[in-house]
Amino acid sequence: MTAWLNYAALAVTEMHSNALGPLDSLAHPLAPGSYLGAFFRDDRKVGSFAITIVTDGAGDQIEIDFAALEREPPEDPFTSGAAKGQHPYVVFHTSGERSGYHVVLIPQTKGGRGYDSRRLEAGDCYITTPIRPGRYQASAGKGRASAMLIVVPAKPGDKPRPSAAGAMVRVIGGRVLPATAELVSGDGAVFEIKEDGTSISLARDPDKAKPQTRRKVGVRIHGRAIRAGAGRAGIAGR
Amino acid sequence: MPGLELALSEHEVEVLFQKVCGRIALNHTDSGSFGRFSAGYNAGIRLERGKIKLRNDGTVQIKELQVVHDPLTLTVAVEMPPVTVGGFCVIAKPSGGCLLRAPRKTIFAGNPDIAMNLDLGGIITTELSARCSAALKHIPREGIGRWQLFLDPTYVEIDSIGIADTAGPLIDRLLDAAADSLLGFLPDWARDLVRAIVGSFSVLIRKALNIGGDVHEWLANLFGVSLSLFAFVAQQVLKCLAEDHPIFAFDDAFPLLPGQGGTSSLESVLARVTDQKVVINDNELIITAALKAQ
Repeated sequence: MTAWLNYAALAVTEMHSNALGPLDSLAHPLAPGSYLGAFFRDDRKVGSFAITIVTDGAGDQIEIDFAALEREPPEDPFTSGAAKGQHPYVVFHTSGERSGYHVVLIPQTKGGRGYDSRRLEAGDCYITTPIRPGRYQASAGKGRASAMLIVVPAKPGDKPRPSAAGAMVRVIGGRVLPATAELVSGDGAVFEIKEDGTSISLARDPDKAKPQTRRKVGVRIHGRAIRAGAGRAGIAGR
Repeated sequence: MPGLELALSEHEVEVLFQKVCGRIALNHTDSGSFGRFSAGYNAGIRLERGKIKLRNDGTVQIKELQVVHDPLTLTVAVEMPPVTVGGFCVIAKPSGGCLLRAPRKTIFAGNPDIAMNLDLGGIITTELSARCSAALKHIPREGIGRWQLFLDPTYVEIDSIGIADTAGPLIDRLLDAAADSLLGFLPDWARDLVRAIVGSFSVLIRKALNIGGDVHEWLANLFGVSLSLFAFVAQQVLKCLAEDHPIFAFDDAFPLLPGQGGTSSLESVLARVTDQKVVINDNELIITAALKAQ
């Protein structure tokens, strides 16, 4: 057996809801109906799938894993059902190392509503699990609202500490609340979208370069001691 | 008809037996897979001490025969659970359960193994006892044969398994070192993250290896039951004593008078050994035989 390490996940310092990658995912509540979905990586279509949501069901979420679908395109539609009027969530994510995914859903039933993950809708949840400690600027829309996420290093302990929902952030139009949130590396920051038409970006502040300490080096140039008047050139005597 | 009678005291048999034990050196390698971990060993085996008791029922009892396992390298490999983030509930259902759960994101996967070499040389000693008959076996050779006296065990028993007190701390140290080397290439924060998600590696590995609270019991069980080292040693000791390592031997034909060299050379007087018998009582092991001049 060989170890597999998700190097891409360790290297993530930026996340965008319109270009999903190894450490983020997007949940969208989907109304009953039939949909055709297409997913794109760096704006190039890489696969498709079908979803059927019935009116009566257990409300279980559907997970669309882009990396898995790229490896093995699905033969059957993903199905779920609404429970007591609550639309089930479809969760888009990738288990692989690549980034840059977005998805488009096209309704196949009359009166159905389409979806483009580059424009988040009210009720969506953008779920991130930043693992690299540091300060992340979270911005909504075109940078008109922002907040700060402070990711602190995880503390090793004797007992396993599973990843938890560390911060819930609401995005309402021009506001992101709270303005500052702190979470532990590996925990989740969930952005609840309250208005249509936005997107979320996270960018980690670069590490401050360590200040270079300049050593003072005294330089002494040795020369011949020249007595005044003893040579042609030299230190002028009195 | 001239005869031969050789009586060995209990002490003399013990000295001969201990000399034989000093010549027995074995090496063995074996491995096995046991659910969440696999283990293998390379063991050097030597015998020390061993007491002899001659018995009236015609048998020889071997007691307190120490088997020293040195070198003894145990290699264990443990499957490490995948390290994931996510998987937490974002929105709960009013009726219980979870309406929206974050997908799991895998940081480590593919069941990487934590493999460790544990140097346990000289830490484990087993003590054997055996009940033997004494048998003279004739080994034919060209021109001249040889009679060999073997202690032929009817059984070999493992009386006790001794494990040094240092085994527990030693294994703890080695487990920690293995965990450090596994994650050594990661930056500090990533190492902390993995350790936080997985918990203590030492605890994790102990759990995977089923060590529990008693390292001594675990080692005894691993070598005794799972890897059957002690049973293998007992079998080999039985074979060595019964077939490979006689405690005493003499030539056939037996030299009654040695030859003399020089101009008036006299050839040695040899006799064939027949009707050989071994008798054992409380005090002595006696070999008797008839000698037939050649």
